[in-house]
Amino acid sequence: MTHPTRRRGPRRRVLTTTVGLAALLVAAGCSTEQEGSSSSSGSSAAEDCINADEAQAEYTASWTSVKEAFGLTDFEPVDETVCQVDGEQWKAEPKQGDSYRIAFAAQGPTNSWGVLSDEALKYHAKELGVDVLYAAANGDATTQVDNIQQLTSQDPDAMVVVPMGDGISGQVKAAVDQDIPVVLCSGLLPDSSGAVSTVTRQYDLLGSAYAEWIAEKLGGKGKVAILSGLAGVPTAEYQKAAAEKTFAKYPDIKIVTTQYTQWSPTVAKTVAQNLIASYPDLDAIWSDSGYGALGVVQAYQEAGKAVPPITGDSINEFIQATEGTDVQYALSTFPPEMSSTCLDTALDLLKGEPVLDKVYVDSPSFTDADGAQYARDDCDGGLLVPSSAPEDLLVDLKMCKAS
Amino acid sequence: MTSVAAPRGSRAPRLAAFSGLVRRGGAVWVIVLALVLALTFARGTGFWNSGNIAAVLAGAAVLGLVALGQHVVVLGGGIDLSVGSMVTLTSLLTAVLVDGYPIRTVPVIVAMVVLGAAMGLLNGSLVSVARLPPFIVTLGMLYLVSGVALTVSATPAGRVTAALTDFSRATLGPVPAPFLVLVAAVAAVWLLLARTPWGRHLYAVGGDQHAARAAGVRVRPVLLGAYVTSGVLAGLAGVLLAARSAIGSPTAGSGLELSAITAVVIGGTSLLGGRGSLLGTVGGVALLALITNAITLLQLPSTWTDLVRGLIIIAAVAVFVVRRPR
Amino acid sequence: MTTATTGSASVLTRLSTVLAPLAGLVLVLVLAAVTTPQMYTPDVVRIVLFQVGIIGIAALGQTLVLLTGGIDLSISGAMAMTSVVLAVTTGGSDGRLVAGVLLSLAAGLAVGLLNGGLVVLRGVPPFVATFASLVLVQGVVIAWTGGAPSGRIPAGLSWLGQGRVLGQVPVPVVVFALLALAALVVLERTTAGRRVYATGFNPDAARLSGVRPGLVVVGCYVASSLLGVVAGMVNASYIGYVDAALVRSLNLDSIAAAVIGGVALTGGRGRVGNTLLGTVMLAVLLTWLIQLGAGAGARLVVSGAVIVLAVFMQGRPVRIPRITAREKDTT
Repeated sequence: MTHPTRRRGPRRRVLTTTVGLAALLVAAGCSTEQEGSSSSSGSSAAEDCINADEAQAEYTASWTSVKEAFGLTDFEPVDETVCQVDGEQWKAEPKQGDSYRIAFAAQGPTNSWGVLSDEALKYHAKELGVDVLYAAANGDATTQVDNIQQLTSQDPDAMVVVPMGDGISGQVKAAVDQDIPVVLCSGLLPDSSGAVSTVTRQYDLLGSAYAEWIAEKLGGKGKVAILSGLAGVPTAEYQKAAAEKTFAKYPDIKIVTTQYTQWSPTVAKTVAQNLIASYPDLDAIWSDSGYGALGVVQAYQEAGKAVPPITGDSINEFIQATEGTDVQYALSTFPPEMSSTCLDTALDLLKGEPVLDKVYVDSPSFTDADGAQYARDDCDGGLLVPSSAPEDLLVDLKMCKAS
Repeated sequence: MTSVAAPRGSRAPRLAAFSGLVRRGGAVWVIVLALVLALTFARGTGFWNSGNIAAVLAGAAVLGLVALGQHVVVLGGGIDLSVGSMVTLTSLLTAVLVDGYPIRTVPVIVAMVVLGAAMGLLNGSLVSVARLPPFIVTLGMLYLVSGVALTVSATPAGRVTAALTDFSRATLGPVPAPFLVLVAAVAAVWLLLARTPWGRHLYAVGGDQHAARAAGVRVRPVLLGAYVTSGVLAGLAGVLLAARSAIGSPTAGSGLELSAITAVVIGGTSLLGGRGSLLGTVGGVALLALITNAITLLQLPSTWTDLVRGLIIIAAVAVFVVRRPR
Repeated sequence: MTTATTGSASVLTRLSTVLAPLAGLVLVLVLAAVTTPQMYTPDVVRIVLFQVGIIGIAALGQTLVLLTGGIDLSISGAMAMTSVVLAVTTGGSDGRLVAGVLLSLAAGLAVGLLNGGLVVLRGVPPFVATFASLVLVQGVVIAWTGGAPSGRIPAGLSWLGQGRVLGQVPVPVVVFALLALAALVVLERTTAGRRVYATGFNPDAARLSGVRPGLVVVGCYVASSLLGVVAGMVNASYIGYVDAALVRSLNLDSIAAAVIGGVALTGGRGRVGNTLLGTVMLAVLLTWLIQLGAGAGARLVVSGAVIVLAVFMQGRPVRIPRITAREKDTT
C-alpha cells in the first residue's frame, strides 16, 4: 500500500508546524488511542488477496513499458498490492428498467483533458447501451462532494468518480455504504474511501519515471529545477513527491528550485525566464505537464539558449512546437480516454466478472527520439497524443478535423 | 422603507410593494419557488426524493454558515473576502489536529471556533481600530490565510473521527444534521440582530457610521462583533466541511467567499450596509444550492453549466437587487 | 473640485499615499539586493518590466473604475475572452488578424456596457455586477469552445507580447507607458478627467454641477474592459496560444496594484502615479518571490501581508483620513 507511507511524512511535518495549537490538545490527545483505519470496507486486505500473482504481473508491466520507452536501466516499481475483487459481492440486475444506470461524477469541461474524459465515457456508454447520470464538479472538490451525494440519492447501479481531491473520501464511503459500487477513475483516494476499484495511471510511475530519465540523462549529476502544477492539488503534489524521492537517490543531483506553473504555459514561461536568469547552468527541468514544458521551451528559445532536457505529458502542441529542434524530452500521458475503461470496470462489477481493485492503465511513453511521429497536425493542440479515443468522437468534439 | 420609492412618485404604489418585497428578502424566494416548481414538473420524483432533498440541504449547510457571517458583516457596511480561506484553514486543521483521535474531537472543534473568532478579531481590529478599508483588509487576509493553510500542508492531510463523519451523515427525517446546525445558527444570528442592542447598533453603524457615532453608538465593538461572528461561523463551517470530507485539504474552501457574497446580495441585502434581511440571505443560499442541484438533475450539457449559472445570477441581481440610494 | 478645498491637508495626504508605497518598494528592492542579487541583472530587470506592462495595463483600467467608486472583477474575464476570440476568428493566420482584433474590442465593449448597465441602470453593487459578468463571460467562453479553449494566436501579433524596443525594453511596458501617459493627460488635464474625479468623490455634487454621473461610470467600465482586452492581447501574444488554464482564473493583481499604490476604494482619490507605483511594487515583489524560490504558501502569505501593510502605511504618518472622511460626508 502506498498511501499510508506517502501521507505519514507530511502529517508529521504538519504537526510540528502547527505546534502552537497542537500544544493545547496534546495533553488530552495522547491519553487515548487513534481510531484505526478499520473504516475501510470495500477494498480487500492483503491476506485474502485473490489471484495476487496475476494482478501483480499486470501492475509490473505498466512500469516495464515506461522503462523500455525511456530506455531506463534502473527503474523498479514501488511496492503495491493489487488484488482481485470478489466478483459475486457486487453482482446485480439493473435497478430500473433493462439497462444499467451508471452515475458519473466527472471533472467537468474545465480543460480539454476534462472534456475528453467526460465525453469518452459517455461515448462508450452509448456503445454499450448504458444510461449515464452525469454531474460535473468543474474541478472543485467541494462541488464534487455535493455531486456525489446527489448522484447517490438517485440510486444508480454503480458510480464512476473522477476524484477532484481527497476531500470527497467521506462522501464516496457514504455511497459505498449504500451498496453502490464506486469505481475511482483517473485518480486516487485513501483506502478509507472504500472504493471498490481504482482505474488510473499511476502518479508515482509518472513522477519517478520523468525523474529517473533526467537522472540517467545527466549521469546522476547536475542541477535540476522542478516545475509542479498547482500547489495543494493531489495530482500535482503526488507526482512531485515521487520525483523528489527519486532524485534523493542521487546525491549529486541538486534540486535548485521548486516552482508552480498552474499548468499554464504563460505562467511557466515567466517562471522559466526567471530560471534562465538565476540558474544559467541548469542541467534539466522536471515538469509534470506538457503545457509547462511548452512555456519553458519558448522562454529558452527566446533567450537564445539551448533548452535543457525536459519532461511533461505529451500534448500535441508541445510535440509540434519542438518538431525540427534538438530539444530533448521524455513524455508520457495521463490519458483522459481511460474513463471508458472505468465504465467497463463498473459494468464488470455489476455482471459479477473478475475485477482488480487497482487497474493501472498503461499508456504510450516516448522520448524525443521518436516523438515527431506522434504530432497530429489535424488535431487540437491540447490533445494528448497518441490518443486511443475513437476518431469520430474526436471529430465530434472538434478536437480533430475529419479526414 | 419609503425612502427609495418616494421620489418615484406616480409609479409608487406597485413599486413600493415590489421594493418592499425585495427588501424583506421575499423576492429571491420567488425565483426559488419558480425553480422548485420547474424541477417538480421536469423531474418530480428525482427532485422530491428524500435523498435528493437531503443533498440540497447538506450542500447548503457550509455555504449557509459562511453566508450568514457575510450577512452580518455586510449589514455593518463591510465585506469579508477572507471567509473562504478561513474555512479552508479551519477544516484542514480540524482533520490534521484530530487525526483520528476521538478524545481530541471536542477540544479541536472548540479550538477551531476560537481560531475563527481570532481571525475575525484580526479582521475587525484592522477595519475598526486601524480604520482600513474592509475590502483590502480581508483580501489581504484571504491571501495570508490560504498561504498559512498551504504551509500547514500542501497535500491532503489528517483524518477526522468517526463521530464527526457520522454526524455529517446523520439525518432527522430527510433533514441532515449539518443543516440543523445551520438552522440553529440562523436562529442565533436572528436573535442577535433583532433582539440585542448590538444588533440594532449594527444596522445603525452600517447605515451611517458617523450618525451612529453621533448618536452615542460605540462603533468599534459593534464592528469587531460583526467580524468575530463571521469568523466564528467560518470556523464552524470549516469543522462541518472537514466532517463531510473526512480529510483535510489545503484548498477546501476556495471560492466560498464569492458564493457567499452572491447569496447575500441576491437576497436583497445592500452592500452599502444597514439594510438587509436574513430571510433574503437564506433564500440566496437556497437558490445557489438549487442551481447546482438542478443542473445535475436536468442533466444539462456540461459546457452550458457556467453559462446558466452566470445568467441566473445576473438575472437575480439585475431584477431583485435593492437600488442604491442616489 | 472638493479635493482642492481641503488645502494643505490634502497635500499631506497625497504625499503620504505616495510615500508609503515608495517606502515599500525601496524595502523590497533592498531585500531583493540582499537575498537575490541577480535581481539587478538586465535579464531579470526585463522580466520585471514585462510584468509591469502586463499588470499595469489592466491596473489602469481598474484605476478608472476605482476612481468612480466601483471595482471591476471581470477584467481577467475580458483578458481570457480576448485570447479565445483572437484564436477562433483568425484560426491562427495573420490574414484575419484585423478582424480578430476588432471583434475582441467589440466583445470588450459589450462586457463594459454590461457592467456599466448593471451598475448604473439597475444600481447593482459593482462588486457583484462585475463578478456576475465574470461568471457569464467564462460561461460563454466554455459553452462556445465546448470546454476546451485552444488555438493559436496569429504570429503577426507576437511583437506585442514578445517584441522589444531598442533591443532591450519589452513592448508591453512601452504599451503600458503610452496608455498611462494618455490616462494621465485625460484624468488631470481634461474635463472628462475632472468629471471622473467629481463623480467618484460625490456623485450628487457632481450631478448638481452638470455632470452626468451615469455616463461617466459607464465610460469608465467600458474603458476598463477595453484595457482588459489590450492586456489580453499582450498576454495571448506573449505565449502564442490560448491558455486554457488562465480562462478560469480570477486574477486580482490589477486591483492589488492600484490599491497598494494608494488609489482609494471609495472613489475620487488616486492618480495614475499611484497605480504606476503600485504596479512596479507588485511586479518587483512577484518576481522577487519567484527568484527566492519561495513555496506557494509563503508566496501567498507575503502577498497578503504586503497588501494589508501597504494600505496600513498609507495615511499612517499623517492622520488625515478621518478629517477628509468627515468632510466627504458633510459635502
